Amino acid sequence: MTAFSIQTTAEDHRIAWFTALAITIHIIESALPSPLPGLKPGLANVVTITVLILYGWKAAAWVSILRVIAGSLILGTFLSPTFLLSFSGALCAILALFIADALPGKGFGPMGFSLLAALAHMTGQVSMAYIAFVPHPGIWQLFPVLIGFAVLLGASNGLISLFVLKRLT
Amino acid sequence: MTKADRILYLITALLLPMMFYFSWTGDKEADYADVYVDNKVVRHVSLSGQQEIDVAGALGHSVLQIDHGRIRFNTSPCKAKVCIHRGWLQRGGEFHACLPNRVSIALRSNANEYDSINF
Repeated sequence: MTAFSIQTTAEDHRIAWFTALAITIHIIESALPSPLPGLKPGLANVVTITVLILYGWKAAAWVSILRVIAGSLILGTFLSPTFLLSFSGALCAILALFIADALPGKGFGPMGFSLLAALAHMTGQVSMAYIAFVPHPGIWQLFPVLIGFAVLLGASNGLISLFVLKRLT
Repeated sequence: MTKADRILYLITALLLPMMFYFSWTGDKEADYADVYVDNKVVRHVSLSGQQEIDVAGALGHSVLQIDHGRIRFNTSPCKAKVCIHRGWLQRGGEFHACLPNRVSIALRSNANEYDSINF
């Protein structure tokens, strides 16, 4: 047997800790009932937004992607439709955050980042559902309703993130 | 909230009603109907104008009446007459069946109001 040792940096540890926190929230939240398929509070994204503000986009992207993958492994939904929807949503959200973060000027605060991420997540998720599972234009009838909820949840998550950041800094 | 946040929230607040408007309104009236007997299409009729269609079902003849974009069962040999009491059908995607006589109508349009209907 060969012994391996992986060199880890302080940033790796930070990402791991935040991911663990996000996974915990993700799992607790999965026990909550949902009024509509494709809809959940997404409280784990409070962690993503907080990390984005504190440590930058790269750390936030790691926390978000690792959370979706590890969370699905724990819940047993890895590579299932649920996972694909969640994963494509997370990728879109991270991409939107990258663009928003790279914009010049004073830029967005947690409220803006959170709303943007929620909108991108929902768009990515519904697009994935349309491409892979329900190739019927009827799904877009539901889109405004889902986006409406995404706005409410994105805004409230942004608010929570704002409070968290106030306590942390 | 930063200035960028406010602008983003404002744009979202404006776009959301527009999304509802564009995906939930529009012309959904049916253009034509498929008439089925025993799950096979026997007639494919346009709903424009006025017309009566005689369809031979399992029990006897059902008469369907078309009147400027809408259609109904007018006469039926069945006992319960559920098909007649259903009244006029006019939206794309609507469907009604007279089970005893095995006659059913499916309304079609380019933009269907319903994907599917279950009873």
